[in-house]
Amino acid sequence: MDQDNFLGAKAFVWWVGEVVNIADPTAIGRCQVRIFGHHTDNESLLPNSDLPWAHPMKSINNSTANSPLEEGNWVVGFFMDGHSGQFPIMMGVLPGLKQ
Amino acid sequence: MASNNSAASNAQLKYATDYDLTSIVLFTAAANDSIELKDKMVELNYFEDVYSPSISGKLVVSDAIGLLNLASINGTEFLKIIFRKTNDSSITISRTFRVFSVTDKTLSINNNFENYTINFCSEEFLISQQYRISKSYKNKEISDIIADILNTFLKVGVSGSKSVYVESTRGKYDFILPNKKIFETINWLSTYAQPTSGGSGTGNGTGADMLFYENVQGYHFNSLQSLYKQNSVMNLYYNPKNIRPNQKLIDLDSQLRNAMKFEVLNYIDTLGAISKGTFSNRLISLDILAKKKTVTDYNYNDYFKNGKSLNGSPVTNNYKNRYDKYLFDAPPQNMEAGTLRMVTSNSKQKELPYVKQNSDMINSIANDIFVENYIPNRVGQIALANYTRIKLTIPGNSDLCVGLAINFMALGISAIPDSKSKKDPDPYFSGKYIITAIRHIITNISYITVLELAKDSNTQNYSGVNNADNNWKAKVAGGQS
Repeated sequence: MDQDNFLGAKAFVWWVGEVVNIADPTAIGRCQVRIFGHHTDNESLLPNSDLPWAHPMKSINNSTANSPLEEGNWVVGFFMDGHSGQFPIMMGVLPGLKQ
Repeated sequence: MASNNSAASNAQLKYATDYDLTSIVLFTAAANDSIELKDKMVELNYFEDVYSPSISGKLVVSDAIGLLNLASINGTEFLKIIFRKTNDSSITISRTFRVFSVTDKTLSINNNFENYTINFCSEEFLISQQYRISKSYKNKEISDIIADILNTFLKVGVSGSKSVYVESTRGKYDFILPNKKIFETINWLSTYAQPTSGGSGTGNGTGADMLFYENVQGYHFNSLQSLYKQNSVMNLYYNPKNIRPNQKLIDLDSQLRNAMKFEVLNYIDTLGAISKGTFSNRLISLDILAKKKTVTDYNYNDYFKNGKSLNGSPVTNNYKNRYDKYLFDAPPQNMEAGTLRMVTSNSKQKELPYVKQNSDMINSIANDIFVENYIPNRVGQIALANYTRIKLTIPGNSDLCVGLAINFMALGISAIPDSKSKKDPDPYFSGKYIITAIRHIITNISYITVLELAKDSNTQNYSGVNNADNNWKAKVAGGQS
């Protein structure tokens, strides 16, 4: 087994990001997320429309309901492809105080 | 490019290791801007490596005037080096580097002089270490993305800068550069890239053998397959003087082509090759959107039949194991492959019936990254490219650089023939090689070049076996008797 290229064997790269679009055409609850430290804040280099669609990881007790995410929510997740960072998965929402 | 040095073009050479070191100039903020270091040089080392994005080097200096303080050297200087072989036809290596450290500083016992090493590299390497890039590219070929990175972020390939040679790649990708350093980003992209003109690999596409490197000509983004297609620029020999009795002194032209030293770095290593997935490897890819699992097997035999190799004959024979399997076969049904990878895939997501019905949905699906093609092929191809590696020390040759192909002839092991005949070449060490690393070493008295050469194939097939023969089966049954 090549541990650098085997899902789960190495490089669990977790991240925190901000939801910028929740209108998922596939209707499975994906969101476009700008991930801090991985995606630049410079929207001319990386417009919101180009951000990857992060796949939701749902609770096994309630797997058919879509998460009530909103744009501006901070979410935590991981990359399925480790440091390549092209396939983000969202694990949960980080609640915060109102601004 | 290296030329075939004729005796006439070697007219200015007295010895094979002669050289012309025009200058080593240090550009610094103090000491009138520039200092000539040629007379203080003990040894100059210049390195290129086909697996490294930058040229680097070391200059060992013997200093009796306290230059480090006098010139206010602090590791940010520029160093210009100009050297070549003495003969007129040789290429001049003339490059400006950035100093990045001073090491190995030692003081003489009487405090009259000090020795130290000035380490230098191409300036692009420092820039690459200084900055990270995060940018999106939609529906772009990887070769276009790499050309854009080189132009936009490294400022090379533009007017007045170093040259850039980018081989075209197939497929259009949606990538978000993941905030890696610049050369890390290019190397990361290289792993996905499949050359337009490469030979067939496993599956339905080409291999994935793109390399990014710098040599004296500039920056290169090339496939191994395209390097293999080049003509050899030079013939080199390893012809020790003591195995040809009564031989006259070798002339200068022959000395230039004759290796002074020959070392084997990698040779027959079937266990190592199996571990690396050279002959066979398996990829499990998971598509979480389509909920699809795909298994892809790489087969060295399929690749070798369809791809381009340096010498035409494979590095192994047709021996089968006790499961009636060749080295390159997929594992038996009841076992898994020894070299196994598992990654995320988005293969053909845009062709899913549910997605095709909705144009909005298609726009939210990223282009295929072809993991089922690039990973199994690249694993096999890169390992195979280094199957046989040798190191040669030759009289200095500034015409050679990494990425070029040369022919090498080593003599086989056999009894010394009579004085009139020559020994036969070794069919497995001799052949066409790619220069994967080069080191030019200039001292006060000589110039030598150390080459690391690699090849993926042999000039002659190994003997095969008749796997169906019962006598053979009995001999290799693996029992204790």
